[in-house]
Amino acid sequence: MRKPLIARGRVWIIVTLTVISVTAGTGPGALEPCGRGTGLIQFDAISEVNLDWSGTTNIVVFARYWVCADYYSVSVLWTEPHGGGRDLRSQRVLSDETSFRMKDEHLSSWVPANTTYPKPVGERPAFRWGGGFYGAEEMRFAEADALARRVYISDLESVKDRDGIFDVDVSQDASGAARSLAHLKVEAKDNRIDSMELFDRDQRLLAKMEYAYERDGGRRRLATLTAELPVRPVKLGSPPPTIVAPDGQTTTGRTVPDVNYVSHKGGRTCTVTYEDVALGKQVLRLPVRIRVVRSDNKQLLRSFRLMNFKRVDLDRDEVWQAAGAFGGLGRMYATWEGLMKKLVWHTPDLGPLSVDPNDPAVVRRLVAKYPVWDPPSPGRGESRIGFRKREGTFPDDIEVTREEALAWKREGIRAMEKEQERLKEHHRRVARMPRPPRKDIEPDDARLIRQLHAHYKKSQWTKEQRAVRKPDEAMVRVRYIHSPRGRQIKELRGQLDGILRYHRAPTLPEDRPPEPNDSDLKLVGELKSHYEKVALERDRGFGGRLKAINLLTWLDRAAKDFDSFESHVVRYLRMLDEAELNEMYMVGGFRYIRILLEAGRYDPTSRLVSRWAQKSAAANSPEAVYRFCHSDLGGKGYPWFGLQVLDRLLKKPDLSPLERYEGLALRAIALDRIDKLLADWETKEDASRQARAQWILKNATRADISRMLKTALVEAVAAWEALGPARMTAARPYSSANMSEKTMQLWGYPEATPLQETSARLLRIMQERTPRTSPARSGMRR
Amino acid sequence: MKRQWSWIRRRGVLLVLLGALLFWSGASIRMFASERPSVQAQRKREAIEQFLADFRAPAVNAYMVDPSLAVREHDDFLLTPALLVQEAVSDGVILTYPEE
Repeated sequence: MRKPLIARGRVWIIVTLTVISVTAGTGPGALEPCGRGTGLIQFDAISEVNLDWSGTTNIVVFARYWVCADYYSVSVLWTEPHGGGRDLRSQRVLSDETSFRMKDEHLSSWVPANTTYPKPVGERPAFRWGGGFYGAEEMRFAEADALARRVYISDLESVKDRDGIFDVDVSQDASGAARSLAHLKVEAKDNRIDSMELFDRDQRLLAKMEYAYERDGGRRRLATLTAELPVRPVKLGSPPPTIVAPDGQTTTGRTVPDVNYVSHKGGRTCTVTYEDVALGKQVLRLPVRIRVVRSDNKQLLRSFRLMNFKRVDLDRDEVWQAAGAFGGLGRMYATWEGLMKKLVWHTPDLGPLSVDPNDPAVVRRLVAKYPVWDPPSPGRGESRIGFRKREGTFPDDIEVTREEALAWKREGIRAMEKEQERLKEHHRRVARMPRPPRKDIEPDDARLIRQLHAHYKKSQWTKEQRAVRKPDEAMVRVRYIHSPRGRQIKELRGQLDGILRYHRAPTLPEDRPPEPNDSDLKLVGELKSHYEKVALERDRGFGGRLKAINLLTWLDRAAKDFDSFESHVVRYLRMLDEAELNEMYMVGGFRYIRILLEAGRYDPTSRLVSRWAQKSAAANSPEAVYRFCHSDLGGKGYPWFGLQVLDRLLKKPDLSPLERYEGLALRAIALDRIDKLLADWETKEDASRQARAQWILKNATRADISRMLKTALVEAVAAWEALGPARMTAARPYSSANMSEKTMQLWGYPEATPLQETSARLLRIMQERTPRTSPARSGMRR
Repeated sequence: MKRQWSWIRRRGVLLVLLGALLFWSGASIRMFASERPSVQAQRKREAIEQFLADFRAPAVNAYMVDPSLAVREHDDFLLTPALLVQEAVSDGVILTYPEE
């Protein structure tokens, strides 16, 4: 009697477990990889971003996240290096079904970054940013785009329990929101998706996902998700300018049509690594690493590390408050900022004007005393012939229009060639012309020129024009029309600018920040004691401690305590080393050591540079070191720093021939820059340049540098020759640095790679420094 | 009897094909006929304007766009961990990679 009961019990247990597991989405019937509902999760994340053009090359962002199925919040605590690149500190976001809310304490007056945007957020407008600017408020569109192409398990009902490749049309109302996703191509086996292509309504590929699984006993779990994001079209827009007349009346300028362009050049390959994360009794499969590379050349663009996952019990408002408490500037920040404005970020007070600014004779007298070189204008050339002249007369037939446009293009190329010849001739003629000698401007005159300049800057627009409020939206152009008086003032300002640019202006006593008094020093001590404690706190993570170290170094500078500054830099480097932020060790470490150098602390600078260069070369890839040496940091402005890292990197035995050549070429370029710096540092009024030269001369003589340069050039050219065919392809001396986009488009020139730019620079140095008959020089010119 | 069935089948297939052809051509004619000349002219004008706008693009504002597009990607990347984890903790969502 007992046996059937047990058997019946077993059946029930199996049936119950199966029902529970299937409804929970974990049973044999569920399609993988699929999300599992859970509560609110908090985690920290560190992002590393490489922006070659930004002058910083490596940027690290520290943030905390709170995420559940219905909403999420992000709070950025710190960006390292601070200030120079894309500083996102104190940025806070909360996104739920109804709104996308942003707050930025640091930019508290900037309306777009301190706004609640209702949802739906609408279509992303045409891209109107330029020059490296981008308003973070447009993040809301990135989120909307991501949600519009989310894939739900209900979309894949037809794939469940089937193996093979399936084309699936996606219903437009599965999520209740507008969807850009229209079609899927899914490869599935044993209820696991191996790959999935996402298409929009125009059958354009949005992304391709590939999934890799790992085995854990009988279970297979998602190990990595690799997404290929193709090059995508983007519309460039130029909003019409607001024109403000002298009487304050505003009109809207001409609207220029949006143009087609491409984003994600080279494509993006994004890899997400998933791991089991224990949250109390539950184990979840969560993303722990994200890595984005450019698909065509595998260049690492950005990455994220996710950590410290934990379940938290907060409601939406409490999450927003927690985000504010985490990323906020802190109670002592305002005091710290006030002190910095007084002692470091000093704005000189030049006092009241002692002359009548409305008397043009004052400016005429200054111009007569300090005559400037006003080279003759090259005049108007013929470069504008072509389609611009024929604007508005295009025919109705697109084929005829296309033919005409191509003819204009050919005409444009011919005109540009002619124009370049004309400009070259003009420059040759100008170079031969005599010019007035450069003078030292007397301090009183320098003060007067700067006072007048500031006065004219304020008074070139009418009272009515100044009353017109600029739109809150960034990148909206406002064009003011000068009144006759305003035009005159603009001319006077231009003349004063010319004097300051052409002649040598002295540093005035007012330019120097005040010495800290006893009360300032007391405040510095209090703030240091506060931030020393914060630098040891663990609850705001590594980013919070870096932020405290940064504030402490500024206090050291305010108090001119460079021993303390050095000890903070040592601590900073040790922290980055321990966190394995190796590229930031190189980039951020350089930025701090440079401050010691410019303060004239040459011995501590040399001590720190030796340790910094050793570690930077050992821990970083050649690609990262070369990116640093190409940049304005270690390469152009401070070549001795770059040279120290290169010397150590080139001792590595496992460099490829191309890597070795690039290192040797960059080394020769750095030595060339050092040699040129040492040639004229005494003749230039540049304190930073003088500090750099004096420090280098403590480590080597000018004769040493010349000798090293000669050897370095020979080694670099020999390494280039030894590359074989690659010397005229990957390492071909070719530069597009000074070509405009228009020229490249017209002539069909490709963009040079960093290695090609390096070869071109090396060739220029060879041309400058070696005789015409040198075999090495003629070899590189082939 | 067998021959008769075969005849009916052949004619039937022919009729179905003919019907499909007529339906398709009718639909096409309707589609083309529904577009008025003014709409066609408008489309042509838009195509020409877009072509010329794109043609002039390098001279207008593409010089500085690439750095800003790179910054857009990097700034939007801040949301990527949130969106990835949100998918992982939401019932019924297939794990994918978001836009950025």
